[in-house]
Amino acid sequence: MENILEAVIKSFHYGEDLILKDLKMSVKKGEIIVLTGLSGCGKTTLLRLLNGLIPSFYDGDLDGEIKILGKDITTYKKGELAKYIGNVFQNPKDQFFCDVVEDEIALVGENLGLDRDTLKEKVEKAMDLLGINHISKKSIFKLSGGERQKVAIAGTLIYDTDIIFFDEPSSSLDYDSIKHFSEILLRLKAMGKTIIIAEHRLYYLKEIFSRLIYIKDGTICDVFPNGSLSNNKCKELELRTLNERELISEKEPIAAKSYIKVNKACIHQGKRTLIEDLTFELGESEIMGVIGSNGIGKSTLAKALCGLSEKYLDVSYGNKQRERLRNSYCVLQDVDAQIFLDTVENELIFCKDKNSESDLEKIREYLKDTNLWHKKTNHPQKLSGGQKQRLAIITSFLSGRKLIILDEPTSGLDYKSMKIMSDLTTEKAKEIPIIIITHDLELLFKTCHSVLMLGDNGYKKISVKGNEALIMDFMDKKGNLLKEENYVK
Amino acid sequence: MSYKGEKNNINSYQLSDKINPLTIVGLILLFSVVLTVGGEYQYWIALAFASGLLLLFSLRKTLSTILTLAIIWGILYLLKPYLGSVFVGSIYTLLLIIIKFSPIFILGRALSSYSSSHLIAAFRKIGIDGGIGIGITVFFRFIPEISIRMKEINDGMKIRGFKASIFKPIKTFELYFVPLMYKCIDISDTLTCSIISKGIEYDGKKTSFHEVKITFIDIAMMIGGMILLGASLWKIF
Amino acid sequence: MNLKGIVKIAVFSVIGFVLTMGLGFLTGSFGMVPSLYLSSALPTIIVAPVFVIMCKQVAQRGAAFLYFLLLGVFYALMGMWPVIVVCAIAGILAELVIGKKENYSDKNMKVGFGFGAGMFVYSLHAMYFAFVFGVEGLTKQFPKMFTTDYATFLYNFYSPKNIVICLIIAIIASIIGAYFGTYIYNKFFSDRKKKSVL
Repeated sequence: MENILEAVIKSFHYGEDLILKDLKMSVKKGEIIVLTGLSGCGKTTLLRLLNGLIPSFYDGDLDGEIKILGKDITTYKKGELAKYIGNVFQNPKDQFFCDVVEDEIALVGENLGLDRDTLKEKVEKAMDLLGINHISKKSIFKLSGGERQKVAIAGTLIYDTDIIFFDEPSSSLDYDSIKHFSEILLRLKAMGKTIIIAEHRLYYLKEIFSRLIYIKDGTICDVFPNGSLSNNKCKELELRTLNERELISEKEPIAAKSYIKVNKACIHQGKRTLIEDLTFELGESEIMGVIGSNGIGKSTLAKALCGLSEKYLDVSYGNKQRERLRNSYCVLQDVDAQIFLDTVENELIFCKDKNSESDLEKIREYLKDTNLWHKKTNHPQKLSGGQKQRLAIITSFLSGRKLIILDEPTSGLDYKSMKIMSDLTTEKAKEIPIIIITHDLELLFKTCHSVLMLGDNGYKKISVKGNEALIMDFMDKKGNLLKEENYVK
Repeated sequence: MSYKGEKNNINSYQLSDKINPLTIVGLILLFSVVLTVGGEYQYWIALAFASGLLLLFSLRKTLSTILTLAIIWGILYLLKPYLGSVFVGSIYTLLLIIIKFSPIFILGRALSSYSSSHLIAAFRKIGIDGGIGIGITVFFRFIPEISIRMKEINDGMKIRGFKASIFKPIKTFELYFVPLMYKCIDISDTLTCSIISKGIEYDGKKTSFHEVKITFIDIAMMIGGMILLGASLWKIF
Repeated sequence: MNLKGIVKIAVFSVIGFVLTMGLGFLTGSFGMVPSLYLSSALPTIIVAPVFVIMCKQVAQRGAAFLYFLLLGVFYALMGMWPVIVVCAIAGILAELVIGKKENYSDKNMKVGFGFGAGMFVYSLHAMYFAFVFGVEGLTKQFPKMFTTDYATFLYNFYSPKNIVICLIIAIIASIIGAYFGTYIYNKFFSDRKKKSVL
């Protein structure tokens, strides 16, 4: 079988920085290739070279050659690559140009001159394949994460593109949506598409990928055909787990005295009640995970607990909104909206009105532990996504509040960064309890003592240790687990 | 296509398939002259026409517009006895000017009911493309985004304990707009990558998902607008 | 102008438009007379950083013109099409003040003053459209609501003294806007090295 894609990269520089070197890869038609490695290894740059965004959008100096369908990528006319390549970016919402679903899907066909009748037919077919006909006229602002992903993928099917690139597709998806996404990947594979995915999360790709390419320090370190990569090898390479079912909790159940109490809290979104009569307690050093499917109310719960919503809640650290705002701190999913000052160090210094020498020493320690020391005088908004997440989290640790809530703190983070976050969180939890809302089972098992499972028919709080299988079954939605247990409605 | 209604979060612009957006643009141009030089009768006809057109697109928007106009008229009647005061008089005049140009604002609202893609298709037909076309698409794409982002920034400020204050205008500006502007930079980069990868730079004829044609309805509306314009100008000459 | 620049200008011009229109209404809520004096002073100051940051990011000739042109297009979509003409003139003047391409990325204040100049031209439209276009037809269209006496009073507002006051306010706002825009850019967006306190 001929190669659909070939890359021979002697070197690639962004300015003076060498990003890639001595890299050779080829992809056959119909393969699913996973590019993985730690943050900063060069996989995103490689993806951009392969999909033509370097040099169309990004600058850089390439010494090498990229071939798509046997032809040098630089010989394609402007815009012509769209006939052969589709792209799904990390944050589908930001990549939508139109405001209505079917218009967005049709965009590539319009740009490439497909006649209207053919275009309408193709749009209909693409929506059929992905099961999104019912949202064809919906505004893109009203879509869920999974729906956005499907719309982005549908856009790549209009021109029957041969190759589809995905840049960290699971980072904006919940557990259930990731499962649906892997089913879509299998369907695309069956259609003969060649798929290249840059990704940290590997478990959902275990049965799907043809080859996994491990990149380190700008070059291909190892290539693993499907079946040859073990979980132990993943650990050795500091990659995310390949098999989540093998994960076990690293935290013993905690038996600390009650520090935070939430009593019969009702959480609303508009006029809808999402969660009713929620009651739980947190021990002084407890780290509690919160899990549940998309739309169940996890983030809404986080906002209510930290005082952004619900005028009155019966919680021990403040019934009124103002009290909850004063006594708790929530790191929201989009950390960009919580970064305000002109330097990284000022973000941390201004957590308090006055800093003692020990406070400043703590700030220095946090910056060094999170690899942000060399960026301390940079503008925080210019940091990478992972760096901003780390900054937002250590800001919360320095806030001096009684309760910290982290909403999806490790989405898009590699194993090493996740581990850093886990260690810092464990350290901080010695002082105050922490709630972590997450789909990241590795983080949950590594960091949390207990977990609050929010289901359609109730909720339950259990220890993580000893209940790993139950938790995973709950995430997989295998049966109405909460009904069988002694749940509270 | 059946009318599904806005309560299902589905844009109900099906009627726009029958009316060419350029007709509404044409009416805006005609009415702007009518409202400048026309008399009382021409004004009320223009207002009724624009409201009727908006009703074809959205009952909710029409009702909210009529309610707004009714409130402004009510305020005007309340203020009328106090016109001796300069301050009251100046507010009165400004509100009257808003009322005067309300048919154009209503037509603008009807125009915003179209999807950005449909508008681009219409403008492309008359040779308006390139930067202006992208600008119009981004306008409709980004307007709802602004309020979502501002709310997120507001939430972030509350959590951090930062407060907006009219006595610290520069600091308040920094808190709200610096994160917003960085978000603009991020979004514009992602959007550009996305449309590049969707072939926007392809040097071929661009087609349109939406059909943009002149129908009998468009011709009838334009004739109506021109008759109104004629009646307005007749009085002058 | 490349596609990257066009999209960036489009995104920033939407922000600029929302602010300009919103602050314009805020000024107008104080009534006709204050809004005639103040005109677009508030938007000139508040929107300046948006423009300066946009120009420094895009760093291409034509960015200023496209920004103002898009502003006019957005007003036209709202039904106020004559503003396109004013905005186009404002954009041309802004480009002339900014001058050569290097000024877009240099550390000088030309971009800020370019915006100030453009907004000065833009602010004149409020004077003209609101008074001449607006009041002109009021007595004809609303004879019961608007008397000739009152129209005369407003017409007499535009004495040479008041016109000079309006122009001075517009110039001061343009200068403040230029400095404010450059200040925000230098503090939060430039690559200036900052000193660590740790």
